[in-house]
Amino acid sequence: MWKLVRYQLRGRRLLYTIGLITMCALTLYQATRFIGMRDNPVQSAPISMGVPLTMAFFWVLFYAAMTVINIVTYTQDLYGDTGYLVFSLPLRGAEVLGSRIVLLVFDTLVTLLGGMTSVIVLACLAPGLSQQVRPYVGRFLLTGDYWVMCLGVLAVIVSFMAIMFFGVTFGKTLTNSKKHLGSVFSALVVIAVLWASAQLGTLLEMRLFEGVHLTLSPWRNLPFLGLGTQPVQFPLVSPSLFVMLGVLAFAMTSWLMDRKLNL
Amino acid sequence: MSMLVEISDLTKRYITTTALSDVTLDVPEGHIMGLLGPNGSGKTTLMKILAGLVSPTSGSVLVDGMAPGVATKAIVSFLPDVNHLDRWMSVGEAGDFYADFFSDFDRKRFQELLDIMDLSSGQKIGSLSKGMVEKARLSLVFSRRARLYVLDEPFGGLDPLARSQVLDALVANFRTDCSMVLSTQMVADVERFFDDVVFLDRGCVVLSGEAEKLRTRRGASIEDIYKEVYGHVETR
Amino acid sequence: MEFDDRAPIYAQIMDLIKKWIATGELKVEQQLPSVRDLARQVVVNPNTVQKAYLELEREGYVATQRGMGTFVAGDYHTVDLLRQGLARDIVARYVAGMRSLGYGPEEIATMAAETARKETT
Repeated sequence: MWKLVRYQLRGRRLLYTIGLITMCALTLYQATRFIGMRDNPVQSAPISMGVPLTMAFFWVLFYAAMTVINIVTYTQDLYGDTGYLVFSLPLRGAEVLGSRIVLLVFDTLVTLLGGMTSVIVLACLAPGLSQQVRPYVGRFLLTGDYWVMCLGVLAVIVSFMAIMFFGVTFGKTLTNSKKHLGSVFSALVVIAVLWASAQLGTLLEMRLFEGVHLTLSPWRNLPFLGLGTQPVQFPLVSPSLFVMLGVLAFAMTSWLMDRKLNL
Repeated sequence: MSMLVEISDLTKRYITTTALSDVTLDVPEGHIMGLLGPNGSGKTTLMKILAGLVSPTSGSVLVDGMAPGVATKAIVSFLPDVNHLDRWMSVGEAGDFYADFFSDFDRKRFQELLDIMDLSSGQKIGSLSKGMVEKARLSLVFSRRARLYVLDEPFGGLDPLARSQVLDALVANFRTDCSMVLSTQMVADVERFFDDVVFLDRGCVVLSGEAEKLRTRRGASIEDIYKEVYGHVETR
Repeated sequence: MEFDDRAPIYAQIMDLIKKWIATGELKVEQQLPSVRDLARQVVVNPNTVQKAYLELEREGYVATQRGMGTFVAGDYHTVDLLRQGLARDIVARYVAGMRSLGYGPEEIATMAAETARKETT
């Protein structure tokens, strides 16, 4: 499985290089602007704050692009010609699928760490903001609640992608059509699963697990954020259910790959 | 003689079509089998089933005594009829990839085959012509010391010179402990390599047997028999 | 190598080797090319060459020594017989061709003799 991950990463080296250089360039550009403005502290903190947030938004775009690429390459493996290589290797379906999940986690971590770095760097340089931010950076990085939140988000994203992969694979086992009839079907499967999960989650929260929440205060070490320092209540039941569905989707997709594939 | 491939009553149905129906055939160890038939006769489906890429609807398929799966993929060297290599890889990287995943991959032989085929390992797959990609793919497939070679249209994109290079490599590397199943439209060019031939039509076996016995019995070449079989089928 | 795909290939390989023996291209007790080498040379399936060797052995023209290879068997006499047999085959084909053109025995013999004389001068 790790060999497959290594080859996938090698195949994408150009893509990663271009993406990361772009993000670095954007960060550096903003940073030099901030450095140039240092002598002119007219700008108020909220306006300065906008720049790191814009940067965070760019990182979200980067992540969205990588996610689309992940889904497209997976679909190509099932519907395109390279699948004949991947699936004629002596590997179990779980290993092939696992390599995709590892890549996804890798992309997510790169985005998270890269995004955090550029936002923190920019916040530390922002005129009118840097003085407030600097003393808190170390403490913020050690906020357990923040990392728990990130982990939760990662689990939900991975589950979502596992369900996507299941949809694509299921579509492919039904038809050998190259005309992406299967993808239409897989979209329907994904929507149905998401809808069912949401309904069931709400039902469980209302009937069985009323008032079960996860209360985290990820921003508690950033007092300058104002209202944001209040503890936040995160739903617990629906995401857990969703993650369980993700695990189920992984198991079922692996089984389909081993037994029911029609390339 | 032991059978490396045993297929009995194999049927493959898709939602709207039946690709194979009740196919029964054996490939003896050490034999080269020609899988013949027009487009859509089920050759590719049958080969993909042997390679473990398509799951049978019913019937049994055994490769060296095992149902297609992880274990058979380790001993089956499959050449699909389309380019299955990632375009970003160089010829050498593709060799590394094969060597990493297939323990029967012989790097020395790969280099020898690249030399025969006039390819160098630095060339990018994406920059090669169709015929050169074909030769690179064949070099990879033949560099494995597999038990079963499954070759779908191995001579499709090759010019006559390359075809004779490939045929020579095929004879030079053929061993008595392996078997080969290959499909081709160029019956006349390769019929001298077949031990056995199977004629498929619309997913059914219409004629099969040892090539030499068919020649003796019918006093005709395999190509003539091909024309006769499918000419007959079409006018039916 | 030009073979006729309408007849069994192994029989044609047998004929080829018999011709080599008859013409002295392969001498008595000389080793035949290995199955794989001959298969590459004449561009056919190695199993077909193998079958031709087995049949030749059964007919007594060659003998296989375990681990050593296949050798031409027999002596001067058998080679001569083989040569005569091949000659008779050629003559038979020639005569049949001439007959189909309507020539009689005398004319066939005369024309053959004339052509042979012209070729030698």
